[in-house]
Amino acid sequence: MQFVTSDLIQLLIGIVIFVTALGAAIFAGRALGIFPREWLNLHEWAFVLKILGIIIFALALHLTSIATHFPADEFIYGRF
Amino acid sequence: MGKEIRWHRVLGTLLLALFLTEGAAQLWVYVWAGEPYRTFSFYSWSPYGLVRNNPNLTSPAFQINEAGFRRDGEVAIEKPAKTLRVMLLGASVLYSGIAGNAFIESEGRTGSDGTIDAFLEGLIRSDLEFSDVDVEVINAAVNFNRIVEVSVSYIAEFAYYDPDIVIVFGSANNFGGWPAAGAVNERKQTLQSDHLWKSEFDRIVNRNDANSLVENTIRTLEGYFASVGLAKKVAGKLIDGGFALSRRLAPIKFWLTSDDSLPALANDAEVELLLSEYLGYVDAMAAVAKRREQHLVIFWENWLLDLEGVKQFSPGEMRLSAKLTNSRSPTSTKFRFHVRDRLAEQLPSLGISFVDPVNSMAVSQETLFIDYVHYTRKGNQLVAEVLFYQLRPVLKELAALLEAEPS
Repeated sequence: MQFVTSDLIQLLIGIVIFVTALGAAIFAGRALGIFPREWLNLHEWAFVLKILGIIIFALALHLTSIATHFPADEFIYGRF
Repeated sequence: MGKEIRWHRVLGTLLLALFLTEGAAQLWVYVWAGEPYRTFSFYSWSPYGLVRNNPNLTSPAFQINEAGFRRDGEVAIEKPAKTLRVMLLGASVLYSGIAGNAFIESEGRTGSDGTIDAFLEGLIRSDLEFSDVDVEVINAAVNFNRIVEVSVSYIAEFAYYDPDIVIVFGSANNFGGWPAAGAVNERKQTLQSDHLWKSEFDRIVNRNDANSLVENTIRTLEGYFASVGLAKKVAGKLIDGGFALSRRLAPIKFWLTSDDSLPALANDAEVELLLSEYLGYVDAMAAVAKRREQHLVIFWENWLLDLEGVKQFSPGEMRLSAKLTNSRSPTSTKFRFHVRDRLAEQLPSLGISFVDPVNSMAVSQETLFIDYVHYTRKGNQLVAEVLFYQLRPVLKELAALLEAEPS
């Protein structure tokens, strides 16, 4: 039986990204402290960052789901 | 601090962030490409041969005109009087692309002034025998075109540009390695199976799921905002890089019990069947060419490793061939030479010229290859010279007919 190690490595990369995202979410409260309050309060900053987070993750999820259609080593053909 | 959200401020912040990001992205693209942002999408769908090059592509290296040809100037569909029009059809070799991880980085991407069409047009124009006609050489290459896409695009569209001569590239995409036993009968060879972009087409056009919605939204926004185009490009490269890394690490065979025995190869009958399928498409092109009085030429694309022992490799090509060690396959080379020889035998009897630049490549010490199959600027120049000198008698005949035309 052949074991597809690339799938395992992709799973590991996925776990690392998930843990990073989880860590960012847990420590987001503290990180919010660095944003200036003159213009937006904490809740407003949190809302803005949620919107940006949703956009970034939608893009990442989408590109990840289609990444295997065009392996990077075939970049000449490009993503459509 | 209240928990009430002031929506106008939130909206203002988002708009300001978008405005600043977009401004920075537009500026970066202008500095990088030397022109305002239009899109980073390489292709647009075509009903005739799947895709065309996207005229709106923003790139410092690739110039695409309104018809999707790889050139700066526009080309009228109706051929001007007393004009010798040469049309080149094919794929990435003709486009002058780069593929794979092993390539000569110092050669860089070839601009539209260094492609085969540009050199060929220069050669014809500089020959006094052609001084009484105008000359247009059109490069209609699209990456990863096979004869399937080339023939359909020619029959349904490019034949009506009325070229006097049509030169078909793209053999590398039709004939790769020696097929495995049964692969041709099961229609699994590259020439027979689905095009790489079929999954793209299905996802974007045919499916109506959430992924399709997200993708179409991104594609729409990409057409207006440089920030979206850049974000997609950067994110795509990072994600592709992750997947490529996983594949590079994959050969570490911790748990792998591999079967090292070689697969059985297709027999002669299957190879002939594949060749016959290829020639079927060529026959269709030849029929249209005959009707429209156009001369058809097939050009053979040699692979770098096929020329080991044939060409004296330059130092750059030596390093390249060393990097391509894992791709070295005497069986595949034998298969490609077999197909090449069969085409050289058969095409002239169909009234089609066959051009193989191997003899000129063999005596060149220049770096002709940028990767396993694509050419450098020097390679493009050599190929243009081979085409010009081999086809010069035909071109002269065609020019003489044009000279006799009423103005």
